[in-house]
Amino acid sequence: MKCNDIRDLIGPYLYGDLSPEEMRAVRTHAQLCETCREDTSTQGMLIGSLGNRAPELTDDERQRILWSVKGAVRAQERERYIFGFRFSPAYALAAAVIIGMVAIKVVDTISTRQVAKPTPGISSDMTAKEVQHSKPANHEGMDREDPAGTQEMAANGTGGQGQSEDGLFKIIEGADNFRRMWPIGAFVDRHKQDKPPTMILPGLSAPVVNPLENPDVRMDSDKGETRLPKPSGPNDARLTGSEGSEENRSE
Amino acid sequence: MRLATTEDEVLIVRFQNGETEAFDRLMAIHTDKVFHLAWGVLQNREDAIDAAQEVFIKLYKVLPKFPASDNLNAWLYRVCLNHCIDRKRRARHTGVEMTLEDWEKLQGSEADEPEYRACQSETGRLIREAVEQLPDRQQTVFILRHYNLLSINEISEAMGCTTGAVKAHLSRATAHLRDRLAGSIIIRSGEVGNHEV
Repeated sequence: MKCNDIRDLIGPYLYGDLSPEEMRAVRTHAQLCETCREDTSTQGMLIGSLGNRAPELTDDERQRILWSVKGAVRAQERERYIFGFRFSPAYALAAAVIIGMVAIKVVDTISTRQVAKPTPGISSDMTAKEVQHSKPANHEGMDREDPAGTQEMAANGTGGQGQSEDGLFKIIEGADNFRRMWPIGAFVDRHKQDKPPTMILPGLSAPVVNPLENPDVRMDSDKGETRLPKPSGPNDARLTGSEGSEENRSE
Repeated sequence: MRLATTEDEVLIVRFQNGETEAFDRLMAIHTDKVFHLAWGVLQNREDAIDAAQEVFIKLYKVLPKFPASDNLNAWLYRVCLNHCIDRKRRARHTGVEMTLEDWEKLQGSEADEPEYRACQSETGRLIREAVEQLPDRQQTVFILRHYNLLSINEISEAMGCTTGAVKAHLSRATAHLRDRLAGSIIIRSGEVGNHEV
């Protein structure tokens, strides 16, 4: 072995980390080479003079490490469970897709139902009372809040069994707000004299007409029922304000 | 299918079969070695304990999918060494490198020990400074080996290099120390007692 090779082995030689053959080789070379002998000697003196008491963990420190690790692991496990379900990116993605699909379906359903369609169960000949009877029982609370709105719906031929309760509330509320904002009498006069406005409320296919101010609406005081005007044509209930007024003028 | 042979393999398989107690046993086996390695790099007791905790938390995460036949020792050493080197590097970048006084304060219970008190002497300070000035790898190898914390094979597993390279690092470290301390009383007299690094 050359000096360079020996120099790379002096450290492990001093710590006894070489194989027996290597140990013997270093020892033999050091006996022959003065430089390497001095290196080995001084380095051995240095290492021998240094304390080598290894730091040991106490039992308390071991327990501390163990419980810290367990605590951290438990905390991570808790974070992974949400409402008792194991949270994972795949589950989160699946939940997001389902929620998105449901949201799209709900929006689609509401927008479809807000386009008013004549319901076979309700005709414009029916009185408000008949309309009330023709509706499901769970609409009673709504009727108590806004009976006028229901009558208006019946007059316009909108609504029906398929209409959701929320949808009905929105339509009725919209009609009420509109009536408050617009003086309905002036609106009706203008509707009769001039070319009526073609404004249609969202959710209503015909202009709003207050049945109390409409001369075509008769009140049967004996029966306490409001009789709605008969349509002039078969599709009268579906006509917009402009179409209806043109027919009236032609008559 | 290969049968588990070492205790580590058996424990890993048991853990993967749902016996969480096997993890406690794995920790009991490896905590000291991981702590020693961390202490060898960081040279601070509290930091080394923190590092050991981090390593075992990482182990718990990977253990369900850890191949039982893989060398767990090597994995632990590698993760621990990388973690400690990162930590040391961050400490340097953030300028919180400890002064000698800080280092002494943070030694905790060691401060009461006779070896530590001896270390406070001028000679001890010279030795510690000389060790701290060693290149990182030489310093790590020297400390791990000098304190009998890890064997040459274990150091090579931890550092991801051959045993020959570890031996070379060790030799260069001792040679550097000798050169740095050549004029000091240690080499001159050769009679200075045991001094902690």
